[in-house]
Amino acid sequence: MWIDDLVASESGERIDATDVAALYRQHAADLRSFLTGVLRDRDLAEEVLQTVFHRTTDRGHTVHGDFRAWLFRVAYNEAMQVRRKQTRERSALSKAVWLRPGVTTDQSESAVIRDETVAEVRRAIEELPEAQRQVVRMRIYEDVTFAVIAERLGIPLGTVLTRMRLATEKLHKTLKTGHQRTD
Amino acid sequence: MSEPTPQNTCGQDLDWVAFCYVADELNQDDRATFEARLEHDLSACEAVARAVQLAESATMAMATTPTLSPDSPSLSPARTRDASSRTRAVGVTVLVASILVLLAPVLQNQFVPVGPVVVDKAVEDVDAIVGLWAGSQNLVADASNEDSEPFERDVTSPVAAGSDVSLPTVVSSVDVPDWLLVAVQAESVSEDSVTLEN
Repeated sequence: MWIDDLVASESGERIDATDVAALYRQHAADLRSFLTGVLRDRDLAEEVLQTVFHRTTDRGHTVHGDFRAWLFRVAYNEAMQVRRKQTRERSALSKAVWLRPGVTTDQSESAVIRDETVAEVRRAIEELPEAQRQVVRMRIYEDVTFAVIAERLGIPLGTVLTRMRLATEKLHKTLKTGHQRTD
Repeated sequence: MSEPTPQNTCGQDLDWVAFCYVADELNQDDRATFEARLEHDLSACEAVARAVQLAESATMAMATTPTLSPDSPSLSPARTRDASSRTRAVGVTVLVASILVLLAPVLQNQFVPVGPVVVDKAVEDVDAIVGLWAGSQNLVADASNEDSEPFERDVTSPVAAGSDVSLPTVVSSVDVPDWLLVAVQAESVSEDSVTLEN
């Protein structure tokens, strides 16, 4: 069953639990990544993700059409609400937390997919020109800002940005290929 | 000309803007604009998810591949300096340890007590340590001349035979490092204080 084609009934009853589970399987990984990007905190992202699926259980039956867009919209609104509450604490959060691989509720199947994806990304990084690989390593792995990278390498900021953009384009292509294969 | 920013360098490349957003590289205005877009634009939301997945995968790939990690050769000058000084320190330690191991049999012969000798304990230790250093220096010098002299020469050498070599003569020809003298002096002071306490 394609969940995006699912049209819940408006009978006032809740969406079927198996449908919610199917939605979770299909969209949770992307929603989790999205929430991590917005909140910069894995634990908060996981909490909000659970809230999103509580909302889905409560209100999913009212959704017509594109469930994925609805889920992301709910996720965004919940994340913004949490961020407003957390404004003070947020300043103390490490901005690099999102970069570190964390524990998720995804089980073995996605772990295998993840391993394959990591292997493909590794190969893609190895194939990058050294100048691009160096910027990728400093920005992503060492969490050094573009401005500091430019200063350390003694090159213009524009050059750093161009190298990083070219590198991320190649890595994105690798990720997309990997996702298409696992779909 | 305006200063390059993550956004004006890349135009409308959504994946790139999303990466910059996730990496906290957008200025406040660009950030607010992009976040407003996230509220109604699924493709922007998906781009953020992809950016996080890319960063996570790349981090894991680099963390598990020695040639991609920060310890690989092409690094910042400071890090490279640290690595080379560490290598030098390890090299010196290994060299000194090797010399001491090589010298062990020679020194055993040299410092075997022949009879009851009344020597101040601290002075004896000083002599032994300085002798050790002097001996190691001689051995290094000998090793450098090894090609020109037959190995049997060592059997008849005064040091190998355990004869009484006058230490001051030897010491005068070697450069005893400061750290060794300080260490020996500290040891002497310590011995003296123990004697006084008794």
